[in-house]
Amino acid sequence: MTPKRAEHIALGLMVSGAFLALAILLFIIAVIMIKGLPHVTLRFLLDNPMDMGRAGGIFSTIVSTIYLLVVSLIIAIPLGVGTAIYLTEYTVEGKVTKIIRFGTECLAGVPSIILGLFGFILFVVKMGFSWCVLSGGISLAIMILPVIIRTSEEAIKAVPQSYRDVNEVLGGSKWQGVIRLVLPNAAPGILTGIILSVGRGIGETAVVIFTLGTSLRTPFSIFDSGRSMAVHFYILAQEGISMKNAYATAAVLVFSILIINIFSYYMMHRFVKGRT
Amino acid sequence: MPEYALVAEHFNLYYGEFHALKDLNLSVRKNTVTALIGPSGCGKSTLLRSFNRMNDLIQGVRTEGAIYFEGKDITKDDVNLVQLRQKVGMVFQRPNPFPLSIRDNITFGPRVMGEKKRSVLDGIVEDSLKRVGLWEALKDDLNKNALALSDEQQQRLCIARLLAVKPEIVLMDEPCSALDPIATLRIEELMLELKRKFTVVVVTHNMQQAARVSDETGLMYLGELIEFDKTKKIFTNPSEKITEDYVTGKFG
Ligand SMILES: Nc1ncnc2c1ncn2[C@@H]1O[C@H](COP(=O)(O)OP(=O)(O)O)[C@@H](O)[C@H]1O
Ligand SMILES: [Mg+2]
Repeated sequence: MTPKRAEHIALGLMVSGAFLALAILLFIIAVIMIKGLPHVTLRFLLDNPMDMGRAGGIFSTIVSTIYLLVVSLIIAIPLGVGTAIYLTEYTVEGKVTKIIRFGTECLAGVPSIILGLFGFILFVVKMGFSWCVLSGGISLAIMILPVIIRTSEEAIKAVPQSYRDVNEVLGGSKWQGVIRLVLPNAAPGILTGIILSVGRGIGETAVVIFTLGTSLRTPFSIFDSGRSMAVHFYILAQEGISMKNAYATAAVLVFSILIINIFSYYMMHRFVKGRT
Repeated sequence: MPEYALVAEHFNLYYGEFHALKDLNLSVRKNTVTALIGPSGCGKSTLLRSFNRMNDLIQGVRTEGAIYFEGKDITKDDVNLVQLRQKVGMVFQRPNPFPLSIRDNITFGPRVMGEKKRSVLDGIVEDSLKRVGLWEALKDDLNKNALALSDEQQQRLCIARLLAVKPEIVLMDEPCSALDPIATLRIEELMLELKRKFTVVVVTHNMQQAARVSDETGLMYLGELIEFDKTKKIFTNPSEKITEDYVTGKFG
């Protein structure tokens, strides 16, 4: 086979692979939207589930999902951004940074079902929080931490070195430079990472089902249990309770994830444009 | 030695194994413009950065000897770097304003030093902009983003931003290399203006510039200070062969 021919074949395979991926994505979205959207009404969004989800809407699961995400972000953002600042601004590349980076890579590779079990054993059982927003929030925070660290690090590294030099020249401390120059200029990039992790967290079931639980009541305190939309969908479908409501829930879920991803894509572009 | 702003004695600097500055001895007079010239890579920037310890940011830098500022050896570990850098300020090669408003650029330094009063900050903004000749042009646009200014205005703004922290010495590392010839001439006029109140040390690869603005000139070559003397002497009657070759353009 001539190199040229090989190239053509390889290119053909790659292009069809790309189109296949796109086709599958569109197919999934189409199926879910067609089967689910007709059942998504305002009542469906604003009513609480009744009869285990056979009837009623998904209001309490929307609240649970948002509550869970907020708690996990409150934990993961300071930790993740703090780690990124430490790695980029306060250390020189060396053993310590390598170990921390390796650790976060490994964390990113842990299957979410394992994280769920870990959260269950540690927070739900050992620490006695039981299934609740707090247990779920911490566990989910652990899951999204690597994404936040990684994206924040990239964003911070992209801030021109000259800002730090001038800060130094003007008598600013390192911390003042971080607060006044580095973080404001890295903010769009950091925000992109946060939005990406929201997108991941919103669809997560394995971590959440073991730690937040499955209660259909609307959680008020962080020690209340709840059921996220993703878990609700899983249970409705798994136990054959109501395929109609399962698809409707899935449609809301997929729609939210799409919006979030489009938004983060847009943010990323603005971020890249602002840099050049 | 009250008439000297900076005095280096047997000053050596190493980047790891590399001996970048070799046994430098020089005295910078107060309220003058001192130029450092020499082929690229000879250590001009390194020396300039030694005057306010900006080399501390680089890993593996080691120094020997002393540099005196206000009677104190600033190469010692116990030096208060924040104070030192406030008094010995630096302007960089490329104009590098922060992506903030003109006002916020200038008030950045005073604010990190704890100044909060609006009236004081406004006074500093006006005073600093006047000193660099930007006040008339920009006084109605103080909230404009600094990145919208021309290169020359940006560089002037960077100088104003530095003057806002009330330094005594202004170090400039090839401050005109990103500017067109006319802007360059105007920045040179500014340097002459500045030396009435400050001491200016300017690194340049432009020999005409050194001849035009400086009172004294040092020629560096491969990490050594070959000759340091009145600018006039350096350019008309140098003592060293290397100096003569360099200022007559035989190499560099
Ligand atoms: N961060 C650094 N690490 C190692 N060597 C450096 C570093 N910065 C400069 N040098 C070396 O020190 C010498 C002097 O550099 P520099 O002071 O930038 O020269 P100049 O400003 O006169 O062009 C050069 O040989 C350069 O390669
Ligand atoms: Mg240089």
